[in-house]
Amino acid sequence: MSLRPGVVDFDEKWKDLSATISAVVELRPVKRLTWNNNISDIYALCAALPKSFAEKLYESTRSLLEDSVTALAEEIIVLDSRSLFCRYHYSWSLYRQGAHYLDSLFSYFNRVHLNKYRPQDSLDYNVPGIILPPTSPVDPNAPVEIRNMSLKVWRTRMIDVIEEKLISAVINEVVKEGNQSDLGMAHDVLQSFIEVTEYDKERPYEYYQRVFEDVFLSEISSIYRKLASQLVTDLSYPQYIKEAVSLLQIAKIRGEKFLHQSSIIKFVRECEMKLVTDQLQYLLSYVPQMMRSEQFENLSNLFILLSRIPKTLETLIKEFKEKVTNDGLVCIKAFMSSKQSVEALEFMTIILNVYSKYKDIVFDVFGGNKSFLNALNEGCRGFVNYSEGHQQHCQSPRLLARYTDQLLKKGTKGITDTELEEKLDDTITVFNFIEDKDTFQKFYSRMLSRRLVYGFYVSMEAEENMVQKLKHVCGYEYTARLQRMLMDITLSQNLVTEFHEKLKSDKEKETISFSTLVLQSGAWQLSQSPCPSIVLPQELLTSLIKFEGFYSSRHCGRHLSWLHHLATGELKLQYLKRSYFVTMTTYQIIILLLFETKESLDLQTMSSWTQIEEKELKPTVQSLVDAKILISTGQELLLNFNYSNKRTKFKISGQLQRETTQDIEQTHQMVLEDRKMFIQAALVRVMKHRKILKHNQLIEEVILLIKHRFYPNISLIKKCIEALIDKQYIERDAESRDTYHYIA
Amino acid sequence: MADGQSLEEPPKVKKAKGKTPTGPLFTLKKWNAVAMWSWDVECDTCAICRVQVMDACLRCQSDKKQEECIVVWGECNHSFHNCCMQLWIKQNNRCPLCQQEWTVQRFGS
Repeated sequence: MSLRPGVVDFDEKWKDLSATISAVVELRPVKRLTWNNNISDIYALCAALPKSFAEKLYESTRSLLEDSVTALAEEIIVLDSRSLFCRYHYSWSLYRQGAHYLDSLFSYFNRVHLNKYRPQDSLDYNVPGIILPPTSPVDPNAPVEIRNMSLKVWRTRMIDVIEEKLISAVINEVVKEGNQSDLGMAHDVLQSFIEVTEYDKERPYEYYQRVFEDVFLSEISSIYRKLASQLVTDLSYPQYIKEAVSLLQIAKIRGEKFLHQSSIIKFVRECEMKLVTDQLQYLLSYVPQMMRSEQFENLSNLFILLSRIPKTLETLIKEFKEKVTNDGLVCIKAFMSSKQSVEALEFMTIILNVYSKYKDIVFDVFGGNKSFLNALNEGCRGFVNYSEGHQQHCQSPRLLARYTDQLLKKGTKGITDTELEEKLDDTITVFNFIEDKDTFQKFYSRMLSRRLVYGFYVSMEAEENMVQKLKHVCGYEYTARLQRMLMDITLSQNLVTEFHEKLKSDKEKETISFSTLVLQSGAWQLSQSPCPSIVLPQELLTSLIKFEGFYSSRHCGRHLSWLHHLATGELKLQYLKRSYFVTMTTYQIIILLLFETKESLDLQTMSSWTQIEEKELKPTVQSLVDAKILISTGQELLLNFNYSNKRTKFKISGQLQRETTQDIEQTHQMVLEDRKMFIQAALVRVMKHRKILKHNQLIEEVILLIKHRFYPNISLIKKCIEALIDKQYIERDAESRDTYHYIA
Repeated sequence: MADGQSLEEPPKVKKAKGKTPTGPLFTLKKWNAVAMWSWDVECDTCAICRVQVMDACLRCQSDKKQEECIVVWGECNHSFHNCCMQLWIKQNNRCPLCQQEWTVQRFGS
């Protein structure tokens, strides 16, 4: 053959060519020689002189395909649904491959002839600085690649013709309990709707959606509507939700097998709509009952259904929250009413049990959903802050502080660092639920005071750690005092070391080993010394005066007051068969030292010599009698010269300072006083920032500032506003009485 | 430490026995005292802001500068929060309590 263009007889060439084209689209075999000749023929026709036959070739090919597809469509349209479905699937799979082969047969035509229909700027003339003329829109009737033309023919002559019957056949196949291969076939059929418009790059799925998806979805909608109302009547509630869960699962799995990616979610949504959203009232009607009787399996199924639909979980969340609160309240009330004095440990156990039970439920039943975790916290808040009666203080802040105290106190046996850490974290969990965080703070700092002053703390690390945890929740200000206390202990230790170094360098001899804590008043909650004029023994007085001198050389403008009722010492008893080293309170020491010069003493003499008030003296003497160091004759007291003890070094307890109801009430009173200060500070802060503010707005902003610390009542805030007006921090507007001004 | 003590003890016991009639009955070995420091002031409350001088004044509390709120004494020996006094003397350079001319005697440290 020759590549030189020449005169060609179209009809002659077309005869051979059309036979091949017909064979190709039905995937019938074509001889290699024929195929090769056909390729040359196409070249010859396109390059023909005097005029190219390219357009004629294109038109002829198209009408050949149109005739053949039309004939096929006529054949298919009369079939019954099942056969139509299968036949279409079969014919399409042949045709689409055929179209592919055809494309390679016409590759010269595609490559060369179609070029003149392509927009010019598709070539790379994009030189910077040169503005190209706007592109002319592509003519929709312009020739396209042979494959695309073939697919277009399939669309217009096949799908458009049999559309209605075909779609209903597809729906029949996918809705009935079809097997895997039917779904696969359906998938291919649907794919044909997309492939035939694939060349339309801008709206590739438009045809598919119009022809199939819309019809399909409305069909599904009516099928599932019927199904849902059928199930509601036929099944019990638990059966329904279980069935709905599995129907939706199946729908998704099946959808993935036959639908195009873009339709799966729409299909599942449609099913959800009919099975869940439209039945919402029915589904929610059983929630309170299920929650009450803890039908967690049903609730779990319901959760699975509802979590698919936005904004339907509210009822479930609300009921869950109430369930937690009610459950907790039942436990707390039973516990409170059964006990005279409420034990901190049991109290914590109850709260933590309720909390962990429902935390597990959040994860097992409600998929660890965040809203349910919040509801759990809210629910816990509901019962943790319970107080008996309106006027009563809530017990929780105190009990939590007590529990923490027990953890951090020496003597908690067999507890490892990790366990301690876990338990401290538990306290923080409960702490988060507590509304009156200031009350907790007050009790906590009171107990911390004791731990630190009496040296009862397990370790400074543990104390620091706990304060850090509190700080993490409530911020710097909340723990400032607690931190100050811890700092005082460290500062005191350093101070005592320096004091001893000073004495050493001054070559002063120390008769007793002296150490002291120097605490900042205001940060500590310690009672003042009940016996301010107490007479100290000379040894103690000497040390004390030396230290005071040292202290005033270190600080300016500070005054030290000694809390001897908190001090302890070690006394060596050397009048017995063996010597004993006894740790005791300063009061006990002072009493015993009186016996250095007297064999027997009565209470009155003791009191006048020592200036220890009677109400302190009596229990102190009694504690020494209880320890068998003193003997009471009824009137007088004597040293017990027959005293013996297995240990040579031991401690006798002073009167134990137990927390009395009076102490507790006093602490609550202090909390109230602090609240006033706190509210005032918040008021000042708001007013300083705003300068002028209306009453209601001021109240609102102040509540916002303090509610993380406690839930204030409005009348207290009003009192504080009055107080600030008195102190001239703010003033009322002369004209509008509910407006305040800040006074700088 | 406990071991050290028990090693020391036997000879002492003997000594103590011998000395019982004449020597002292008691010896003080250790003392762990507790003291509370406060500003050495005549009046606990700052007359300007009416908050205790040991606590920070309201302004410092709301600015969260508690640590910086120190005390100042005048020559008249009256004392106030330093920051309260700074504001006060802008208007009136006299002690709010005794009306004497305000001169700083010392600052707390």
